[in-house]
Amino acid sequence: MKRSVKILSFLALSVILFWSLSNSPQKNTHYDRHQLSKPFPTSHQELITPIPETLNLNIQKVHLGELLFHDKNLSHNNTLSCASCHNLQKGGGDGLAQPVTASLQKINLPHHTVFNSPTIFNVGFNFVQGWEGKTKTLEQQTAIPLFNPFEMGNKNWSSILNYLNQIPHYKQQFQNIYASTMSSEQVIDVISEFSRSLTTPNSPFDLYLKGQLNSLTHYELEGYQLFKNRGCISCHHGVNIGGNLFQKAGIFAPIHPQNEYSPQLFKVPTLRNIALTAPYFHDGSVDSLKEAINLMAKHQLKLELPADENKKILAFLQTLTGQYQNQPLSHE
Amino acid sequence: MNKSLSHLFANYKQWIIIVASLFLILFVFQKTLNPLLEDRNNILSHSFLIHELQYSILKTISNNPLKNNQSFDTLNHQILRLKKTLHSLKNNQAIQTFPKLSEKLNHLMNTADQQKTLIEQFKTNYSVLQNSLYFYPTAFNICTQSITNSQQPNTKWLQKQLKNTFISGLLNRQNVNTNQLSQLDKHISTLESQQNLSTECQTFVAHSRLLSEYSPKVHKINHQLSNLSIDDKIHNFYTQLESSTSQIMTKNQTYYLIIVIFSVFLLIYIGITLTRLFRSNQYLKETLNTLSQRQTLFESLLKASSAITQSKNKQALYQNICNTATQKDLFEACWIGEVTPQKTLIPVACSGEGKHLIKKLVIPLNSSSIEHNGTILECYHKKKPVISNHYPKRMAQTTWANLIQKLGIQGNASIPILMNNQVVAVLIVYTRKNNYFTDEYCVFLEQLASDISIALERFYAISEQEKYQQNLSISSIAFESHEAILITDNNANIIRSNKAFTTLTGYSQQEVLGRSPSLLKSELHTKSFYKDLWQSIFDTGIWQGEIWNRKKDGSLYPCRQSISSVLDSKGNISHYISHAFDLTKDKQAQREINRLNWLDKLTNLPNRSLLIDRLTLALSKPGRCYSFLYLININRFKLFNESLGHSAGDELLIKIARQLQSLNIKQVDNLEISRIGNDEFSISCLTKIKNINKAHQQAETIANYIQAWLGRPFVIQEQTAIIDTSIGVTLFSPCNKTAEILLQEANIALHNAKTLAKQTAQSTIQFYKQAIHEQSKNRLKLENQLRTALTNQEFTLQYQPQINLITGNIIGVETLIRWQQNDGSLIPPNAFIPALEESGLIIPVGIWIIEEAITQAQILHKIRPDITISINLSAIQFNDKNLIENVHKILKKSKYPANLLEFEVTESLLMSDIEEAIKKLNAFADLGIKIAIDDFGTGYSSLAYLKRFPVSKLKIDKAFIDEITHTDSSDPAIVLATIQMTKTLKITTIAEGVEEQSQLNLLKTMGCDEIQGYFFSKPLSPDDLTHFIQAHQ
Repeated sequence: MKRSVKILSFLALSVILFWSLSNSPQKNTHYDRHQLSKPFPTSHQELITPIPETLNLNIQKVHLGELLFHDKNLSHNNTLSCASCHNLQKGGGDGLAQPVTASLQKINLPHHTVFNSPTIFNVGFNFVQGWEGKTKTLEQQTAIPLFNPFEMGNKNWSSILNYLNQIPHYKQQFQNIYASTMSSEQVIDVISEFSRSLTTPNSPFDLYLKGQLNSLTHYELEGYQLFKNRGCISCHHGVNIGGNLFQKAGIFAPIHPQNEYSPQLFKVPTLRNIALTAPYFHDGSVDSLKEAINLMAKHQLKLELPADENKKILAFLQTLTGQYQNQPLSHE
Repeated sequence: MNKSLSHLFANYKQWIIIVASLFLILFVFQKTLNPLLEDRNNILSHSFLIHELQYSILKTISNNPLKNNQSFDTLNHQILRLKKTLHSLKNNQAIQTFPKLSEKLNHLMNTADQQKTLIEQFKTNYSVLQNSLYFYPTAFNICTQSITNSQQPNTKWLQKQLKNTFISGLLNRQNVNTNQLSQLDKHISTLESQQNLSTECQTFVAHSRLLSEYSPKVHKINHQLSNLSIDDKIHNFYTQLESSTSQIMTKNQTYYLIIVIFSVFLLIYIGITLTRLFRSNQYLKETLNTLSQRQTLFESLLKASSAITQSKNKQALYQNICNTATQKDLFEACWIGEVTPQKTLIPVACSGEGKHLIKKLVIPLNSSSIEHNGTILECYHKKKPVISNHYPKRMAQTTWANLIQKLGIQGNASIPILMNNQVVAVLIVYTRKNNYFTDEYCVFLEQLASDISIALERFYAISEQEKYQQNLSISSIAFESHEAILITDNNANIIRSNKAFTTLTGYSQQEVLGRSPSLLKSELHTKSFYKDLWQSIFDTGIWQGEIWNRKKDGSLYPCRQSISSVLDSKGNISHYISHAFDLTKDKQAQREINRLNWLDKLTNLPNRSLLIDRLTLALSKPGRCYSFLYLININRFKLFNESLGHSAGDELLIKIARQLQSLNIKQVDNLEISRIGNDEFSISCLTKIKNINKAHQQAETIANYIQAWLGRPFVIQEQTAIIDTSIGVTLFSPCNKTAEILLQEANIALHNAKTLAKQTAQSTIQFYKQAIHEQSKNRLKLENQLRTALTNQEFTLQYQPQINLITGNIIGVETLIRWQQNDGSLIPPNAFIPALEESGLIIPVGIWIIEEAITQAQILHKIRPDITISINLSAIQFNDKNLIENVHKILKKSKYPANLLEFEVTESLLMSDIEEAIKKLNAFADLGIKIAIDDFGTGYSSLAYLKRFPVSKLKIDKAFIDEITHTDSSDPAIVLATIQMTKTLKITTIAEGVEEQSQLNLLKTMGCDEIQGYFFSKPLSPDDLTHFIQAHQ
């Protein structure tokens, strides 16, 4: 007994010694170049790229997020859900120039611009969030409406978490996903994850880009050509056809009336599903797309766009309406 | 488990040291663990990734992305990755612990933030620029078209201006330099100065102006970006990382050294502890071994003890001890040797390996040569156990060395077995194991030896007791001697008398019990005589003298009487014993004189007369064993006498006599030394050797030995004298030769030896050759003749009648064999019967005798059907296994009544193996055959045994009868005692060799039942016997 213990301890000690000696760091570390030389996205044939049909998302989070997205109880007076302003049937916005709550409360503060509700579709492809790009991540943006007094109006997280903990289904789902007590981060995470799932692939133009050349008419293709030649594409490009840089609203002259609080730079908005997201611009001041196109030509190119060109561009823009859950988006 | 736990805690000091050292090592080792070292690879890979990303970002920007169909998505993605990577580094614990490193990282991040802002600016401005560039050709076209349509006078100039502006605008975008830019500005200014420009052209000019404004802006941003030198920051971070790492490494070197030192210390400590442990383990093992050895020894000792107590005799004891010693591999071999009177050690019991070798050993104990370097001799002389664990080495120089090596013996121990402080035997054990004899074994062996000694003493005590009892029975017989014995108590009242007393005085024991011996007073002696008598008894304890006493019938008799007092343990007189010898019958005095005449005055050795007497006796002894007679003459004794004087000569003779007396020859039974002449000695040896050649060889060996014995130097009158001897030897066995002839033969041999000695001046030995030769020749011839005698029917039987003294009738006949050779010569029985026995012919001849005698008896029975036929059985016949069966067959075949058959056996034959004899005799008795004891009185005459034998008849030897009528002989008393004794045992007595009437009368009065002898009839042939019986009737 005693002897075996001694031998065992001796062996253990030898192993420790050997390991500690052999583990001493080497001066010449070998860099794994293979790991570092990941391929970066390279140039495409076109500046616009199609929306990917598959996304790498946690399906459990998406499902839970969907429930929360539609739950009015997340607002302080149980009147609003995320979906109230981001109607997935209305192109991901509310179809109003300004959010309904803001209009109801008649808020008009000179230093505070009330923005049009942007579409929530394809929001995951934006490089920053919000008209001004003040929120750098989707998660940051998700929290804002929950506590905005003009929106869902919560004072703090505890009221939200208390409510969620009361619902056994939620509690169970959170437990299944995170295996820990519910937290604000988890709530943000599931809603953000759901937001990322809101993509509209397979628009006719995307199908064209993916090689179905007959999905666009000649007329619409002429519109795409004008979209490029008239310089629209210099800001509206990438997978989201916009949403990847800041730009002045009006190069040659401001589009909107200016005051000392007016923002100088806006995040270039997406043109995806643009036909469905009227009214247009950050203040929802323009109702028709035709007018919006003319306005853009006037201010960005100092050009009175000829009517036929406008029509052609409009025709092209209408090909950008995609499918949500394999159903083409439409007005109602 | 509890026990082992407590054992574990018992050594808590060691454990504390080990655990403490381990903790120390682990503590120091923990110190060497630095997050930076662990994360170094990770950090390095991140740094590398940052570098790569940075490179990609700059490349993307400088590559005119939109122009090359590269959307800002790529750029955004790269920036995001850069940001994430930087943040993961920022969150790295290892970096946080190093402020310098953290600082460098912060620098890097700040620069990255600056870069990001610049990139955003780049994106905005670049896309504005790109917007105009996309539209520029179209704007130009629209503008020129509008001019062409407007038909203005300076159209051509304007067109040229517009064209120049367009080209510079495009060039400016491609390659920004101050000259071109100023040229573009000039063109634009020129165009702006034109008042009537169309809207379309104004748009073109506006775009041109935008190009000229934004191109430098974008270039400036590019320039700023490249000036941020983010690579340097990355490099700084990397350098700091390396320097921090090497700092830690240097520190760790010290820690590793400490760990190694402590580990070595711990290893050494554990090594020492383990060594101690192994050592104590070894000790435990050895202790266990010793204990098991002791147990084995203890068990063996127990066995030996039980063997000792259970052994019935010495031999069994020795054997049991040997067996015990070789059991359980205790010893390879064990033997016990007994010390013989000749001072040699002879194995008496042995067991184990090499038994056959041991059995042959004879170890002389008085030798001191190198051959006897062994433990036995040392043990014998020191009387102490001698143990050798290096036996082969000890015995290396001896002849035993090879044998010891062959058998692989490593150790040997010899232990003396003492009795009365004398070594009587030696216990010897051998082992093949190295260093086997430890103290335990020595104690064991000594204990064994002492146990044996005790057992031997017990045996000795038992034998002493037996002897004592025997003595008692002898005493009782002796008491019943022909001396009249009286025993009185201290008051002189008679308490016992013997038969001789009754015979002598006529008083029976009952008549004298309680009375005073004075009733025997003859009144012939004076009172003073008795007074002196008693005085002598009181003073000296004994009185001896001649005295006259009165018998019961009043007659007086002279007797030699001795009265002695017996003292009790306190020294007081308890009894008086009186022996009275009837002087009228005493020849003792005369014999005493004779005996005195038979001793040599000088040496006290027997003289020639006694030698002759003894030789005669030896010659007449039955048996065919050879005896040797040596005559020893001292060469040149006369010269010695003359030179040193007669007293010196006498001294030499005495010393030679003593030397001869100290001779110890174990091969012979009896050694008698005599001085038969002035310088002549003789030695006669009796042996058991029957083979003439062997005898001759033995005789020669002994002769040499004697000569060597006498060859030792004598110290005479302080001078050393060495003598030469001549020895003449003759061999003889009982025969017709007389002692004188024998001496003559020896003398002839001695004469030859002397003659030879004179020639060689050496000690010499000569044999009397002719005698040996002739004797052996005669014996061979005789044997050959005997072989044919039976088939040639040369044997005949004669019968001597036996007479009942009371009725005078013939009651039986004794069968006697006669050998008449074909040439008519009659050979006496004592000449051929020994030869018959020796050759084994006695068996068939014996059967023939029985058959023949029975045939004859059956003829006789027609006349006298009650006659018993008596046949002699020799020892060899009697010991024949088939005898009983053969006799039974003959009886069955002849239908002869067994009760009329009698076998005569001699007393000595029965005594050689009493138990076997009893068995045989009982078997005969069961058949109905009678047994007679022949030659009674010549041998042991043990009356005690007579009771045990189924004897029906006792034959009193002729020797007693011859002198029975002589009044001065003790024989009639013996005969009478025998007859009276046999009467009480209901055994018939028959007296042999009765030749005279007086003998017959005396025997009749003594109460003898039967007689046989010449007085009545000599042995008769069958025909004569028939006539004799018919006549007698």
